[in-house]
This record gives sequence, C-alpha cells and structure tokens, in this order.
Amino acid sequence: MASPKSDLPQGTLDLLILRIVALGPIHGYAIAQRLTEMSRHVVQVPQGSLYPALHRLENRGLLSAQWKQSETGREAKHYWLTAKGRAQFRNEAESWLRLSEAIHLILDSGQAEVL
Amino acid sequence: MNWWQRLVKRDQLERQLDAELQFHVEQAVADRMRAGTSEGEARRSAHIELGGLEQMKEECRDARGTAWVETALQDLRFAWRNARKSPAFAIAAIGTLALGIGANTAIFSVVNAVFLRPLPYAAPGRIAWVRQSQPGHDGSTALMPDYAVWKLHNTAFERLSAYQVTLGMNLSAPNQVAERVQAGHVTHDFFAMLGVRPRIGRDFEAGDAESGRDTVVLIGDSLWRNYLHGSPDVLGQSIFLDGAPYTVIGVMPPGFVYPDANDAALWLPDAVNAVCSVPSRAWCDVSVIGRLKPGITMEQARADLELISKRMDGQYPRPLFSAHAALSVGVLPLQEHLTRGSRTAIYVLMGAVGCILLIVCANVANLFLARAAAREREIGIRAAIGASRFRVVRLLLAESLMLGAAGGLLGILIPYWSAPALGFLLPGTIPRSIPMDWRVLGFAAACSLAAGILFGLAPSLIASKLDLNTALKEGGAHPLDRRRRSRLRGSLAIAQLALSLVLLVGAGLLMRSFVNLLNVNPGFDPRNVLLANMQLQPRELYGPARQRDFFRRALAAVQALPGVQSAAVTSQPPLGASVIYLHLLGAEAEPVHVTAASADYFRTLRIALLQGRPFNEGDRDGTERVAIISQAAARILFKDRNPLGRRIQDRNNDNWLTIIGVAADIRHGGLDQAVWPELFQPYPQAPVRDMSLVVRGDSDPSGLAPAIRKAIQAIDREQPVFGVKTVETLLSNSVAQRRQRAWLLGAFAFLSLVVAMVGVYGVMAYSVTQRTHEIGVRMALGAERDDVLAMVVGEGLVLALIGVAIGLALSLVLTRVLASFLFGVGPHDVVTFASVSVALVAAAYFASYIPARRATRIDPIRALRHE
Repeated sequence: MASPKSDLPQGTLDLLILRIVALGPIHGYAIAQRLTEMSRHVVQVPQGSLYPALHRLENRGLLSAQWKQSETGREAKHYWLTAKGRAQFRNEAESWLRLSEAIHLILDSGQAEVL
Repeated sequence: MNWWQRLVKRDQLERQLDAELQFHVEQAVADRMRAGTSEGEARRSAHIELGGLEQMKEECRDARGTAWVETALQDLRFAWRNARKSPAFAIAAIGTLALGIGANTAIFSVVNAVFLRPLPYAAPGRIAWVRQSQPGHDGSTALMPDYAVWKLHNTAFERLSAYQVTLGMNLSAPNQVAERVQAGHVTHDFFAMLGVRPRIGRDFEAGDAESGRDTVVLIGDSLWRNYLHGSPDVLGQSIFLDGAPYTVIGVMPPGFVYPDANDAALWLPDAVNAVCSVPSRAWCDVSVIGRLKPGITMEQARADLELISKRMDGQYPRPLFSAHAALSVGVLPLQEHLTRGSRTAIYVLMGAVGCILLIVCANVANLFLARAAAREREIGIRAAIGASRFRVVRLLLAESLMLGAAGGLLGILIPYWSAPALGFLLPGTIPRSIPMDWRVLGFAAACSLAAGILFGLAPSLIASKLDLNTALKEGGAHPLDRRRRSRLRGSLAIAQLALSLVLLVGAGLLMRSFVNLLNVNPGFDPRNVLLANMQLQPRELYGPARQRDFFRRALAAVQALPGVQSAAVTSQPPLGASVIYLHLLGAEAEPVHVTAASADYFRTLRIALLQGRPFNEGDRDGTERVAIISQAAARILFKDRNPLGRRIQDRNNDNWLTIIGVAADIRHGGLDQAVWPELFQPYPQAPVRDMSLVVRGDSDPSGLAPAIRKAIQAIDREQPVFGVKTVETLLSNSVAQRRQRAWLLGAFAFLSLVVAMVGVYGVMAYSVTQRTHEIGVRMALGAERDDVLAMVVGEGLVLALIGVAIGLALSLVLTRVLASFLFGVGPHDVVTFASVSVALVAAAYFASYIPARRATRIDPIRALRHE
C-alpha cells in the first residue's frame, strides 16, 4: 500500500519556497520541480499556489526577481533571496524545527501507553 | 517595486505575469515531450498540474495589494458612464447637493472664522479674559482695585494687563483738521502680553504713565498713513488729544486688531491712572486680559485670583454695591469671551443648513431609489453571474460618492461669494474676514462624503437585497419589495416635509418679529433728520459758560443754513446716545434718564407735547429750573396726579426742578427697547460738553453734513464734528441684524420648501408610473377620473399631514432656542405655526396634483395591454 500523502500544513509553502530559493537564483518552473522532487512521497504541493506565493513573497520584499536567460536560452523570471528574506527564512526555519521537535517529543513519550 | 509602482505599472506587471506562466507551461510541455508524451497530451497534463490559469492570475494580482484601488477606479468609471447616460438625473442630484453642501460650508466658514480660527496673537490659547460677576449676573469687567491687587500678588499669569475703551478723543495735529478718534487706554505691558510689537518705534515702558513725564502715544497703521500721511519721521512728533500734547513713540503693524474694540486708532498707556480718577477708584472697573504661565489652567488662575480678592475686604475700600468677596471671579479663554454674543445665532443657522442638507440627501436618496428600481434587472444579472452583495453595494456607493463629490466641488463656490453677505454674523470684536482655509475645505469634503454615504447607502442596501428570481423575470421586483421600497420613499418625503416645516416655523417667527418691530411707533418722526455729535475739549477751556455760548452760536449758525427747517441740540439723541445720564429723582429716588435739550428739540423731532409748554428763550441760566417729563416718567414720579407746576428734586445734584410740560414717550434706545422714563432740561440750565445736533432738513438731509461741519469749525476749528448720520439710517441699522437674520433663515426655509416639494412630486410621480397598470384596471372597472385624482392627491396629502404633525412636534421643542431673537411673538406662536402648516399642506397638494393629473390621463386599454 502506497503511503498516503499529507496536505501541506498552513504557512509552510512559503518556508519551503524560501528554502529552495536560498540555494541561488532560480525560476518558477524549476522551483515547482524541486518542490515536487523534495516532497514526492510525503506531502502534496498544490502547484496552483506556487505563483501567487512567489508574488506575495516578492511584494513583501523577501524575494527579489529579475528576467534572465534560463538554461534553455529563453528569458525567465528568476527569484533570489533578499537580506530580509534570508533573515525571515532563518527565523521561521528555527521556530519550525523547535516546534516539530517539541511535538515529536510529546508524541514519542506518550506512544507506549496509547498504542 | 513598491505599492505605488505596482499600481501605476499595472500593464507591465500583467505582461510579465503572462510571460512567466507561459514559460512554465512551455517548459512543462517540453519536459513531458522529452519523456515521450505527444504534444497534445503533454499540454493537457501540464495545464492540469498547474491548475486554473485565470484564477491563479487573479490570486497573483491580489498579492500586489492594489486590487481595491483598481476595482474602485472601475466602479468610478462605471458611475461616470451611468451619469452620462442619464444627465438629467445627474444634474438634478449634483445641483441640489451643491446647494445643500454649499449652504453648510458657507455657514461653517462663519463658525470657523468666529470660533475655530485662532486670534492673531502669539500663543492665543494662553490669553485669558478675567471678569468679576455679582451673584446671578454675568459681568464682563473687573474692579480697578481688585485688578491692582491681583497684579501684585497673582502667581498664575505671566502678564496681567488691563484696558479701557472710552467714547473717543478729539485729535488734532499742526496744519490738520480736527478729527474724532477712538482711543484704547491700556496698561504699559498690554502689547507685550498679546505678543505684538510696534512696526516702527518702541512699545510702552513701565514709567510711561507716571506723572511728570512726557505723555506718549502709540498710533495705529491707518491713522499714521491717512492722518499723518505715512511720514517716516513720525517718531517724536507731537499730536494733540482733547487739546493736550502727546509724543508719538511708535506705529502698530497694519491689521493689528485690538480685542473688543476694532476701531481704536491709537493707544495711551493710562488704563489705570487717567481714566478712572482716584476718588472713584473703589467702583471703577477695567477690562482685564492676561497671559497664563505655561501649564496653568484657566481654573487654577481663577482660584488664585478669587483667593486674593477674598482677602481684600478690610484692607481696601468696599466697592459701591458689594464686598470684594461677594463677587465671583471668572477666567475664560479670550476667544470665548469675544464671541459670546454670536453663539446662538450662528448655531441656529448651522442647525438650519444641517436640516437643508438632510432634506437634500432625502431627495437624492429618493432619486436613487427610483433609479435602483429601473436598474433591478441589471443588478439582478450582476448578482446572478457571481457579484457578491458587497460588490453590488460598492458599485452603487461609488456612484453616490461621485455625485456627492461633484456636488461638493460645486458647493464650495457658494461660500466664496456668500462670505461678504455673511459678515454681519461676525461679532465686532474679532478680525472681520471669513477665510476659506483648510478647515472650511475639509468640512466641505466631509459633508460631501457624509452626504454620499447617507443618500447612497440605504438605497443600495435595499437594491442589493433583491430576490434574484423575481428580479430577472419580466415585470421587475416582487410586489413585497416594491411595497417596502415605496414605504421607504414615503418616509423620506415625510422627513423632508417635517424638517422643512421646522425651518419655515423658525423663519416665520423671525419674520413676524421683524414686522412687529417695524410696526413699533418710535414716537418721533425719523424722516429728514440728521444727527451730528460734538464733544467740547479741552476741558480747562470749556467751562459751563463757554459751553452755553458755543452751542448757542452753533445753533444759530446751523439754523441759518439753507435747507434747514429747524435745529436743536441734545445730550442724548434718540438711537445715537453715546453717554447715558441716569439720575435718581424724587422722594423715592426713581432712576430716570435726564437729557439736556434746546428749545426746538420737540419741534425738530416732531415729538408730541401732550401738556404744558416747550422750552423758550426765557429758560436761561439763573432763571427758575424747569423740566419737561415723558409720559412714562410722569406715571412713575407723579402717579395719577397732574405733574404741571409740581417740583421734584434731582438727587444727583440736589437741584429742584419745576415741571412745565409732559411729552409723548419715544423709543429712545431703539425700536426693540422698552420706553425710558425721561426728563428734559433746557441746555442753558444743565450744560454738558457732549452734545448732538439734531437737524431737520427740507428734504434728505445727508447733503447738509459738510455745511454743518464748516459752520461748527468756523466757531472753533479744534472741535471735530463726528458720527454724522441720518436718524433713518440709525433706525435701519438698529434693526439690521434682525432683518438679516430673518432674511437668511427665510431664504433657507424657502430653499428647503422647494426641495421638499420636488421630493413630494418625485414620490407621487413615481408612484403613478409604478401603478399605471393598477390605475388602468380601476378605470376599466368604472372609476371616474375624479376618483383617480382624489386617490393620488389624497396619498400626497397623507404624506403632508404626517410630515406636518412630526414637524410641529419638532418645532415645539426647537423654537425655544429662538426665544432671544423674537419680538412681540412667543416661540410657540399659534398664528405662525398654523399658517406655516397650511402653506406646507397647500404646497404638497400642488406638488401631488401634477402627477395626479397625469394619472387621470392614463388610457385604460393601453395600460392593460402594457402588462
């Protein structure tokens, strides 16, 4: 039986996008592919939300964008992190890790009795 | 890109968005084809994976944060197209709104000029007016000794200054004709307290008023320019005031306004010393103004001064009528004191124009409702293809706001040209201009916005609540919707009528007061009579003998002028008295006005002499002291005994006077003033230095002024003749404020009536249109034209009667604020209330008669086929 995919928790799409863009300038299609790869068997990334999210992050000043030649030679809109975006990513990633660790701990300690 | 760039570069962003998404799709298709899928299949699956393109684009646009502006612009474009499609509607709405908003802005510009505009002094908020009041009576000045002690001991004021306004002084300068000027008598620190400095020369100093030093004067800019020809070496020059020399030490800046006496032309540093002579100090009063120390409140200052006054009894002489401690001290902002007399009138007018704006809004709301009905199908379609209720309301609201803004822009023009006409509302104590500043413009903008929401919101809320199914069907809204809407339209018309009635009642009361006032018999004949005032100076030169001699020669000279029928002198001319002489007469010490007059006084003013004889040449200095009394005085002094030949004592100077005549009562103080009890003495027996010439001409006497002036100055060229006015002018001025108030409120009431009638007409006309079918059926079933006429007019009259009933109830409560403006009518005058109600119902009858006539011309056959 294939393991069921979970929906992406609220607000984590932005975090994932920031994580991917942090590696260097990248265009929307490539981000979509990375997202699909990264999450292949675990979470469902709604592709339709990608571009609105990118535009939101750009307008909030977390991402910067410029039209550059892509690997195929066509002009594509490339995104990269701004200083503000980098700081935001660091903060959110940290707090996310702390939270998930805490939840992990709670679930672990209670497992024996419940199951 | 910031928010603003995102808004402006919208097209560029759209192109980029398209390109970005297209790139994504092309890449996805290419990848899939590389994996062996056919192009069609690849394209299909790429699109499925990405999801709905249009929706995604919309979300990207939302992410820009500019969407609301774009929809608003879209709404406005739509509103503009709509307005262009029905220009009659737009013009009617914008026109009435402009009137409503304009009238409000005009009156608000007065409110702003009087109450909101800061006075032209440094930090005017810290300048306070100080007054003492007896229990139950608000005073406006303070006792001189209290002021002196406050000044020494107070801790609340940075500077505590005082001033006096007197009747004026005779001004002369070398090689100049003598003139009469207003003088301000101030303490030396007065201008420093206000924060105003002379433009040339120096301010007063502490020692300036001390005796033994040169007497100095500061002059106003216009006196410097006009009387002294703007001469640059004015400093150190001598001018003569009441015959005594004064050295000019400075010129005040142009436009400097002296609180409470705008027409002062020069200032002397003698508020405390000269004007109140030392023996009368104990009950002499001054006007006190001070600048509070920073952080001190008016109340703290009041407590400080009151405590000082309370400790004065025992140490200082008692004032005439009470102890120092019995007087309460008031400290209030200067502006509040200067504008206290204008408050009620301005607030009443503000209320009136507020009513007009409400009436106008109700009218435009009615227009909107009628139009919303016509647009039911359009709105239904919008709702059917997914427009939310909020979206529909926004669309309609954009339209009303646009009309409101247009009306506001047009309305702002009204205060521009009405400002001069409204000047009479300004108290004489503040700068006499009505500025159009940011407050006025802001108020107009707020009015437009409020009006737009007020008349736009209710109709759009109803329109947006439409039942989709019935709206889209032929025949328009559900009958229930229609009934609810017509009830709303009816209530709006009723509200208009009620408010209009309130204004009409108010205007009616003022008009009736004014007519009553004009019908008052003044007791003298004001036609063709000229008044001219004189005050003989200097004091040392003009003793009683010279006063007698001067006025005898002046009278002889003036009587000899061509065009003069008769002439007299008097110390208290009717309507123009500058000094009031109130003496206590008889055993009961009754207060009576005592006037010195020459022989021809009664003949010149055509005052009826009811008993006895007029004065004659025999009533001289040294002969028996005689007097003529008025009817009112006769009643008070002699009850029902015949006063002729009786003697009475003047307790002010202990002279015994023999009554030789009784004159008819006159309205000495003005048409709206009570009759004074009066006593007249022949002027040779009671000489005064302040006298007025009363000259009756053959025709309009205004032209006599130069000849009179010349005749007087031929006797003594140092004596100015001033305040030359016809008695008719004085009479007209004395009722001017009432006339202007009555006209203004009358104009507003008339405006409201017209708008309200248009409202009633609109409601009835619309109701007839809506009920074409019903009326057709009635007529087909045998209803006569008269029945139809009665039915429609009857509906209009029901609206009118309900409106009148509500309006009368409101008026009963509201007209009380007018009480102080009324003359000869009560605030609940039955005649006014009844006639105004009848007029309003009659007007409503005509307003509904026109649509009713149209209803009778409905052809039943066509009306029925129409369905």
